[in-house]
Formats: sequence, C-alpha cells, structure tokens
Amino acid sequence: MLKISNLTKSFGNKVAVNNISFNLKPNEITGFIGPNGAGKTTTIEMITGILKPDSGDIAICGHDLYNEPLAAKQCFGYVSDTPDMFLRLTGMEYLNFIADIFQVPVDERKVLIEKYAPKLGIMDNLNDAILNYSHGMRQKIVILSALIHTPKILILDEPLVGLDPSSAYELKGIMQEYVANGGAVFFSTHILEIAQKLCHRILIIKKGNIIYDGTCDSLLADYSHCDSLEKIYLELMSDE
Amino acid sequence: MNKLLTLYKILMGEMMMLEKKDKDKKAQRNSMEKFFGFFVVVFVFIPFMFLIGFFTYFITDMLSLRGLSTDTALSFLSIAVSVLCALFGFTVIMHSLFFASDTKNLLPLPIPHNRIVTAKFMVCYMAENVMQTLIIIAGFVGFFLATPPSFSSVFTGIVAILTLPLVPLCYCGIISLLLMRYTFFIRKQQVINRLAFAFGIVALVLFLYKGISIENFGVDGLVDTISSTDTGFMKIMFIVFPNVFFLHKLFNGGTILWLIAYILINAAFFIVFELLCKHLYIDALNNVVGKQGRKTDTEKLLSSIKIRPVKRAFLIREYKSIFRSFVFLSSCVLVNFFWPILAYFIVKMNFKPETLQSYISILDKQIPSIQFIYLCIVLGGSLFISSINSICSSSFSREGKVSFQYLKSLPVSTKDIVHTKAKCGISISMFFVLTYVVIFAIIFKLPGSLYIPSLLCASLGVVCSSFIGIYIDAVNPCVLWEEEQHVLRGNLNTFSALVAVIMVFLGLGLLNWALLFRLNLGLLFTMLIDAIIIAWITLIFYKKCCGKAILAIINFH
Repeated sequence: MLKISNLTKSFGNKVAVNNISFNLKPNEITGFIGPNGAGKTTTIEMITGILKPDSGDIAICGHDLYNEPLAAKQCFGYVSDTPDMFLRLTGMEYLNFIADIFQVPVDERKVLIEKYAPKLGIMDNLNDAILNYSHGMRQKIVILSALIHTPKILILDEPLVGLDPSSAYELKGIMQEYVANGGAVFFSTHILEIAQKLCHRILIIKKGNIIYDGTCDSLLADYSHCDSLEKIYLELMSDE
Repeated sequence: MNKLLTLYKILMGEMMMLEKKDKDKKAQRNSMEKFFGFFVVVFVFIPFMFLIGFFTYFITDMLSLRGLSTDTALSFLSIAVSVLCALFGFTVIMHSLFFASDTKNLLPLPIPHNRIVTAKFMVCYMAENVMQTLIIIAGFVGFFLATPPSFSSVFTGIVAILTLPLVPLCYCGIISLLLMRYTFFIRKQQVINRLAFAFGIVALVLFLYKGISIENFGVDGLVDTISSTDTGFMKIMFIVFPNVFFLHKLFNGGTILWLIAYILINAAFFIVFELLCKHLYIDALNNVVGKQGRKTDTEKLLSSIKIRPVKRAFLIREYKSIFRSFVFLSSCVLVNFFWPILAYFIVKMNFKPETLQSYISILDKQIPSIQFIYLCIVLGGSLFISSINSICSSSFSREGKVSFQYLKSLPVSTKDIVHTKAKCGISISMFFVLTYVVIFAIIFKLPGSLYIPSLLCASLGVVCSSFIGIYIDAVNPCVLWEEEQHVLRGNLNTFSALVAVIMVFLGLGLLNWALLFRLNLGLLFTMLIDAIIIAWITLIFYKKCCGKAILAIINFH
C-alpha cells in the first residue's frame, strides 16, 4: 500500500532522514518510534507531500507521490502532530470541507460523522469554531477528518498526545477496526506501551536511520536479556 | 517597578516579533527592512502626514480669515486623534487583557496581576502612540505654517504628542473591565469582533446619513463646527475627553495651572483604571475562562450537510477565514469602503466654482492634464486599493504554518489553490474598485464611450495587483505568527507587493504622460495601450504564480 525507497532529506548540513526504505501492508498497524529529532515527523511529512525529499521514491497505492500527487493523496488520511488548523471554521464546516475535497457523498458523511463523533466525544461541539476548541478537541476533529473519506491508509503523527483516556481508548479501537477492514495504519508515538500492545510491526528510527523494522515479539526475542520494550528501546538509543 | 519594566520589555519584544536569527539572515532582513522602510516612509507616511498637515493648515487658515481663534484647529485634531484612539484601542485592549494567549503564562508568575495589566496597557499605549505621534506632528507643521508658533503652542504640542492616547485608552480599559466583569455576552473574541463590526457599520451609516442630510456639507460647515467651542460638537467632545479641554486651554496660552490640571486629569483616569484592575481583573478573566459552548442540535447540523465542488469548497473556506477574523475583515475588506466613500464625499463637497468641480468638467474637451489626472486616479485606485487591502499579498501567510503545510497533504493541486486565492482577492477588491472608478468617472464627467475602457483598465489593474501580491507571498510566505495582526503588520510581503505596484503605477504614469502630452493620443487610445500593458504584466505574474510560486510552495518547509 505504501512503498518508500531510499528516502533522504537534509536541512542544511543536518541529515534528518538518511536513505530509509520500508513498505506498509494492509491489515497492519505500524508504529514509528524514535526520540525527539530522530526524523519521525520529517518522514511523515515527506510521505504526505508536505516536504519534498532530496532523493528517494514514495508510492502510495501504486501512485508515485510526485508524478501523480492527487491520486496518491486520495489514498491516505493524515493527522498532523499540531492540530491547530482552519481555526475560523466550525468543526462541522471543517469536516465538510475535507469531505468536499475528497468528494464524499452526503449520506456517507452523515453515517461516518454519526459513527465516529460520539466515540471521540465531539458531537456536541461540532457547531463551535475550532478556535475555541482545546488541544484535545482539535486533535479529535482532525482525527475525524482523516476518517471521513475512509482512506486506505491512515497516517497519524503522535495521535494520542492530548487525548483524554476514553478518547485514546476509542482511537485505539478505531485503528484496530480499520486494519481489520483491510486498511493500514502508520503512526508515530513516544509511548512504548501502546506500540507494544497495538502494533503489528514497529519501526525504530534514530538520527534519521531506521535501526529496527519488525514485530515487537521478534524485537523482544532479539534482546532477550531485556525484560521490557522500554529497556530495549533505551539500549538501542544509548548504543553508539 | 523592575518587574513591570521587564514584563513591558518582554511583551513589547513579542509584539515587535523580535527573533534570534543567524547573522546572514539578520543582515539580509535588516537591509530588506531598510529598503521597504524607505518606500513606506516615502509613499505612505509622508503623503499621509502631508494630507494631515494640509488639512490643519487649511482649517487654521480658514479660521484666521474669519477672525476666529486658530487654536481650535489643534483641539479638533486632538479630538479626532482621541476618537480614533478609542475606536481602535478598544479591540486592542480587549484582546490584550482578556484573549491574548500569553495571559495564562503570565498569571502564574509571582507578579501582582495589576502589574501584568499595567505592562500590557503600556504595550498597547506605545503601539497606539506611534500613529498618533505622526498625526499630531503633521498637524503641528500645518498649524505653524498657517500661524506663527508661540512657546505655549510648541510646548503644548510636545505634551499632546506624548500623552494624548492615555485617556482614550483608559476609557477602553475601564469599559472593557466593566463589560467583562458585570456582563456575560462577551465570552469569545468573535463577539468583540462582531460588536466592533456592527459599531463600525452604524458609525458609517450615521456618517453617510449626516453627510447626505447636511445641505452645506463642506469646508464652511466644518469650520463652523470647529469654531463653536461653547456649543455643539466641540463642547460635547470636551466633556467626553476632558483632557482635550485642558489641552485646548493650554493651546490658548493657558497658565501652568491648566498644565497641572491636564496632568491631574490624565493621572485620575489612569488611577481609576488601575483601581478597577486591582479589584475586577481576575473576576473578569474568570468569566472568560468559564465559557461554555452551546449544545449542538445534531439532527439539524447533519441535515445541513451538502456536497460542493472542490474549488468552490476551497473558495468558501477562504472567504470564511477572512470574514470571521476581525483583523482580516477590517484590514482586508472594510478598508475598501474608504475609497468609494472618499470619492462620494469629493462629489458632495461644495467646492467654489474656480476649484476642482469646474476644472474637471473640461475632461470631454480633451485637455491632456485633466486626462492624465483621471488616468492616474483610475490606475492608481485599481492598483493600490487591491494592494493596500493585502488580501492577496497575505494569502498564504494568512494560513499560518500548520494550515499551510496541511493544505499540501490534501489531494488538491497547488495551482487550484493559487487560483482560489486569486479569485477571493479579486472578487473582494473588484466591487470597490469599480464603484470608485464609476464615481470618479461621474465627477470628471467622463464621456459615455470611455466608461468601458476605464472599467477595463481598472479591472485589469485589480487582477494585476492581485497576482503580484499572490506571487510575492507564495514565494516566501510569512506563516510563523502568534497573532493575526502580525500577518499584515509584520509581513514584509505586503510591503513588497505595494512597492511592486508602485513601480507599475510609476511606469504607467510615465507612459501615459508621454502618450498624452507628447503624442497627443487621446484618452481612449491611451487607456487601450494601458490595458494591453497591464494585461501583459498580469500574464507575466500569472505565469510566475503557476511556475516559480508553485515550486516555492511545494519546497517550503
């Protein structure tokens, strides 16, 4: 569904992402783990077309992101790590705007809003301007906007930050339901416990390089001397 | 006291958007700022100050001719400055005290809350004082040209420059504290914006109504109003702004007692404001924090959903982002009303036969100088109106970094986004520009056959200016901002676009001069040549928007 080959991005002399390659498959939740400044957001921004890579290829559902950008962008829903966008619109106007962009039929929009808005606890706030939303509320409306066009791939940058426990629980359920229906979820996180419990596969990035790509179980088996993912992660990060 | 000054410096620095930059960028920015600063001074500040100076000179001269006290011209100017300061200061003070994002970071600091409010008030005062200083200095120059300066008038002028906005801003502060503490209808900034908008509309309607209903609307009527300080308008204003009354007495060669009275009245206003802050601010702020949204009628909301074509959805979002922000609404849309109204009042003014009205009626007699003036008004209006409102030159900056980046992740081509921005800017500017041009065409008694070429030139001017603005803003959008006003005030792109438009205007002016005075081509042909040239410049910038600008947007991070 998503194929990334030899992706590189530098900012001045600093290599933010260094020649990384990986694929996303259907029915998989992939966790993207790494410390601050490791290159997670830069990678996600390149995948979503926000940043142009220095080199490398990105293909989404068979469409090259730079030769067929519109077809490629139709395939994913994106949740940014900073949900402070389109603040002058109300929640409902924002959802409608995104649905218009993806040309989602009216009936389908209604069904999806009625399905996800109560789960995320924002049904009663849809008529308020996003400007007046809290950080968590903004995060929820952006998550809902990513779901409203039923994309094949969900790309989420730190989606659980700022969410209340019940909404975080619901989001995890939504992610699992999504992959069960044939979709793929790719999300970055700092919370190792969530990655361990939720992800079918994890990618660990350090200083722009992917240092691990596999399942949690195999990682635990490789580092059997460590009794938790947290300790493995710390060992991987301290290892020079 | 030290804490207050430190806080003031921090808030002032934040307002001025002082950022640590590397040396090269800083040097580049400094030279850019000097360059644009020069243009702004030459083409905006100096003409503006000249207008104020000329107005004061004219009124002073008229008062002098009638044997009346000339000092009332300065008192009138002080009242005008105070009214403007109160009008614009209210939203600034409300925002700064109750809705600014820094408040929640400042309140936990070990500083008394009235000190925080005082620091914020000082920042607003300084921000307001810059423009008032320019107005008053220009007014004084005009005044002293019409009447010899005296020690008392110079001294009073300096006092006025330094202190005049204090009382109007104290009014704003006191009213805002009382409103927020004891009423419950302002809980969101949008309400203030709506109120300010409604107030502006009411003021405009009253102003227009007054202008229409006065038979002798014009200079004479104005001089009558200003000279009668014991009755009518000036008397009411002296009661509303007692500081101006004491200033008026000082202008009239008043003794030191009037100066003491002036200082005391300013101090009294400030003390009242401080006392109210001490007792009401926290409670007033709590009223804002405790806001609750209304429960949504889900059924109604879902039934209102309808599907729109992608481009239309983008355009509607663009309009909403402008019309729902008071800063953008006032600076990008409402400001456009000024030009047709100005044109209307020029028609309405009772000029004497030997002045403008009779002079311009000879346009149909093919006098090149009148044709040249008319063309300057049409081209200048169409180019400048659509540039001064900054709709296009802030079109990408307005998004802010998050929205700007997010837009790039959506399946919409960047070219469509550029087109939408252009449509939005052009559609808003066009109505005002065409109205303005038609009014001037009537003033100049333009022959009917020249209306269409005039409107064509004006329309192309709007399109040209819009694409210039979009190109400049797309190449280097200023998307990092805290407050919306920084998009317009702290954005060099808006100045750059204005400078580019000035260049186009000067080039066309030179060409028109040659065509009308040297080649005697006449107005029709000159306008057609202008239209071709503007269309050509527009095409250049359109191509740049679809090429270099799109690349810049894609590569921006």
